[in-house]
Amino acid sequence: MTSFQVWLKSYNKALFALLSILISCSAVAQSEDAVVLSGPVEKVRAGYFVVELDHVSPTLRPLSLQVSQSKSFASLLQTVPIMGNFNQVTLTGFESGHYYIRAVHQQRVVSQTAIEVTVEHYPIWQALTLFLLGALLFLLLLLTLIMGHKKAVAND
Amino acid sequence: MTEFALDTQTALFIIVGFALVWIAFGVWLGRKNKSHEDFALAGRNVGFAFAAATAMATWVTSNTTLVAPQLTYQLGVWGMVGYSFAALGLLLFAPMAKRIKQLLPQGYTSGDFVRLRYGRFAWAVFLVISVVYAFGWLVSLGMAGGILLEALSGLDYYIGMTIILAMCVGYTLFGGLRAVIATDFIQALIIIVGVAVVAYWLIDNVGLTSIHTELSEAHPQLLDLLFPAAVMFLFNNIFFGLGEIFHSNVWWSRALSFRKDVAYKAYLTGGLLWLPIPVVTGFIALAAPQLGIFPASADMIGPAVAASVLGKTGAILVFIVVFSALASSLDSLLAASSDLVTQDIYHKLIKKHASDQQLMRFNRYCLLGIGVMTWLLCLPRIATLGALLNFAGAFVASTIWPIVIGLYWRRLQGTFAGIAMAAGTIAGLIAYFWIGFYVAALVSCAVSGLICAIGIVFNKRQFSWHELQENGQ
Amino acid sequence: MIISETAFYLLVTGALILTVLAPVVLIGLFLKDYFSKSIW
Repeated sequence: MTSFQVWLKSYNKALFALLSILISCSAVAQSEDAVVLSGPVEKVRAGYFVVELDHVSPTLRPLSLQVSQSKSFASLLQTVPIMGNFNQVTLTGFESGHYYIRAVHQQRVVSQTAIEVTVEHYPIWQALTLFLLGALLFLLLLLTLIMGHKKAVAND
Repeated sequence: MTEFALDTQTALFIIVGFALVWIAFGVWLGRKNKSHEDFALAGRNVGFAFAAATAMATWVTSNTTLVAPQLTYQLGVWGMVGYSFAALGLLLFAPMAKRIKQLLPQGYTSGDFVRLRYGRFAWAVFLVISVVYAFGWLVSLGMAGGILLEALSGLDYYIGMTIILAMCVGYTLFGGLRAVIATDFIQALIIIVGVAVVAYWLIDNVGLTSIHTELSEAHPQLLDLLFPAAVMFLFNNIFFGLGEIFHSNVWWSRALSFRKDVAYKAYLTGGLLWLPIPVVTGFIALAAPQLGIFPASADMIGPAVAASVLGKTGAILVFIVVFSALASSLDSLLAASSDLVTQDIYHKLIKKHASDQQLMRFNRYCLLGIGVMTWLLCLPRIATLGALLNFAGAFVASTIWPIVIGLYWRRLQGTFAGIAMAAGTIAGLIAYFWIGFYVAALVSCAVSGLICAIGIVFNKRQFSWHELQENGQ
Repeated sequence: MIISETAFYLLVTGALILTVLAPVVLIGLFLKDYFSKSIW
């Protein structure tokens, strides 16, 4: 290893340490009990998705997620309890639309900001086309198998 | 603090207890194994009861106890109904099993058939597909074991996965296919009773009406019969199931081990017995929202619901059921894969004049080796079970047409069969990455079928069935 | 198009009844094989 490489390595280490300190400082600067939620960024195509929770302090358990179709959470669609001390949850069964999700602990909102998730199912024509193609292929296979079986039985 | 349904000590106690009992049972059954044929094919004389039970129990895998609830949680009613259509694999394999027994009375593996029917090129492609599939399935089963223990008892993923693998390798090593089949029978009974108890408890205590009402209000998509992703997934899943059964030596070695005239009715009975099970296990997942259970990852839903509603006794029951389901598939796959390597690679390529005892010894070493490799591949927890299995769909679905045509028609030749499998797999993989998981098996099967059709049209030579009888067999 | 409650009921209970029948069939077959000495 050349001296330049050694220097580069120690420089990188120092940079990393500095970065770590900065990150931890900014975390402290945030409200201590603010949960950070993250969900799928792209459109959800099958109605189920995973929401991840970061910065969950043990004092915030039991924790729930509230799901609403309005940004103001005027009416709630579901309240989802988070299992044990897991830091993620899989939500399911959503129709196409926009959904807002926030974290609550004992009626108190504890997430920094609500996240927005967009669900947009595949168009039904696309689904039915694939279904029909599959059905045709299956029928063809079934016929081949039945014909083969009959032929084999006849040759016995 | 997370409250697990079982404490870690109890879980360890059950799993170690089971492991010792099964291994002892394997040793006891293995005392009858005098030749390699005894070890690999249980003496080719398995009766109807064990044959039907093993067909059913082997197909009750992580599919039905973990992935069926997972897919139902994600795709709703179609998830569970679609999964039960995988029974078509067993049902359609019934006539094929009869034909296999007829064409290869002295055969050992599915690889044997492909090599003799289509020659070396197609055989090589087939072996690659078999190996990818077998390891995909083995790894997904091993991972399921770890996930199950972690979800139910908080036991470290790595410890759970290791014990399950070691147990299955243990009793298969001593007892061979006989141990695999006999344990399958008992495991089948445990699985069915356990699953039925959990579902009955849910119907009795939670009620179908309240589950239906809760889902229609808060999760309507799960009850939607025109759920696009679920409709798209349906036939893909069927072709995946067909590909798994038609090509895999797990099912061929069973067909060859069953007594004459038993193969057809055993697969038919096994398929019919299996058909309703995914609906029952899937239903368990549909009760989750009503019970306020939302899992961290979807593959935990089955055990999580069952354990939470039945308390500690229930947790033990669920634990034993899923454990049995995993073991009944894991042991079959270990045995079938080591048979394939022993027969197709060691006996046909490396040591053509190996004695019976050498084959048996190699088979055992091989089993151990495959167990260790599976363990290594399970170490990184790669993907959710469903994703891993769908990836394998591209591989296995390409074998459907070559196998079906090869068993009944003489017009398809090796080059086209090999190209059909290779091109089908590649097309399926491209579809998997470019379009989505729900088309991988479908595209693979369609492309492979098209190439087979072209092969039949252009081929002039007729295969002679006598070529399937090898010298000395 | 949501599955009706009746269809849902029939689907789940039907599947459960068939599932419960399976062990009965398997044990029956086993006993038959056992007494005719044709297990293996």
